[in-house]
Amino acid sequence: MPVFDTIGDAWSSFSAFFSDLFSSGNETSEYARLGGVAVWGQPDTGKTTFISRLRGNTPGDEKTQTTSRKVYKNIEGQTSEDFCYRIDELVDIPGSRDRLNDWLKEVGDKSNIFYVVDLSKLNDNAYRSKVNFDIGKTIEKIEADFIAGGRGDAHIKKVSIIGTHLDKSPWAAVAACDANNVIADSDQMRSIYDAFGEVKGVIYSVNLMDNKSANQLIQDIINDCIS
Amino acid sequence: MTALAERLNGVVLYAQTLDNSGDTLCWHVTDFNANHTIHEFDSHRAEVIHRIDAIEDAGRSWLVNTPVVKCRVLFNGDCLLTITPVTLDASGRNAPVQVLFNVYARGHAQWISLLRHWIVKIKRDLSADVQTSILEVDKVLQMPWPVIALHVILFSRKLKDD
Repeated sequence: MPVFDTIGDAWSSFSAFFSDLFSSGNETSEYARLGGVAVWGQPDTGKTTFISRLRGNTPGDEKTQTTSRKVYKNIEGQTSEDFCYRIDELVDIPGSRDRLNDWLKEVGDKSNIFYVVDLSKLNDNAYRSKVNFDIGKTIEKIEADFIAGGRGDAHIKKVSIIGTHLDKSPWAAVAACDANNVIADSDQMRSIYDAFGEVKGVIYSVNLMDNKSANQLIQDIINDCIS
Repeated sequence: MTALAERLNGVVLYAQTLDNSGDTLCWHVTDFNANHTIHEFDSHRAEVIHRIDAIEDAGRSWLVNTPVVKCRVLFNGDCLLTITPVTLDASGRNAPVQVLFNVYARGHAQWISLLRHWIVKIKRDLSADVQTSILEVDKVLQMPWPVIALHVILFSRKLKDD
């Protein structure tokens, strides 16, 4: 019944407020804060799986196209031997082309921007040109916001490219510790980097279905975000 | 402001294509012979996808909530059926079709036949479970609108998603 929903919601907000109030003293100093995070990319690149990993979940076997923009708030802080982080807000956007404007809005609003690329498709020219288009629009947006904000020499937002399906890509045989650099130097990735201009881009490679690889990715992201 | 689906006076079908090219189809259907494509740069397209987002986010679960059919409704009558056909996309993922309509709009008499007709047109196969679930929705949609309104108020419930 609606009335119970309302009371339930009020109680949740009330308890979340006090929980945050009493725990903030301990947590803020220990957790790396990733702030607001937006994730996008072409369809079937692993966006939702990446988000699932960021939220500390193990991806399931059954996969479904994402049908709507999903915003995750009040995400529990993630702790393991390797990392300790907290995300304030996480936005998952379907990869269809008519969602480009939604993505660009998030690029303006969120502090951490992740564009997901399927490494196994990078040799496909049609796929790469779609990625180039998306990245180009993303860079335009960041530069326009930067100029409009009149921030002088302040830090310009960076774009993190998450290269997924490493195990099915041309770089599958490259040692994990070298993969990011080798991919960054590849012709396929250089054509994407051309669009970056003054905006900093970072490439990460991962096999999201592999726990070790996914944990390493998160550790790398956190190290880069706090450095 | 009048709800989008009501203003459109019909059903809006929205789905990503099966080839994972990034294309989507967005059709406004009013009868068995007429469908109007809402193009990517048409302002109605943005309205459709934002309405879908709003209903998925704040909509209340109503009538059916199974793995293959989910129905969510807002008190203004905007309703979203998310149907998962048997047909998978090129990567073997479930490829849901979303159906946006207003429960208070008139002309629901042939609603289910119309829906089946157009889903077949986009080459998606429906399982028996889906057919059974959408019949349940159809049964309620045939009622007079005040009864539907009461039904929504009494039987829809807010879901606590993760």
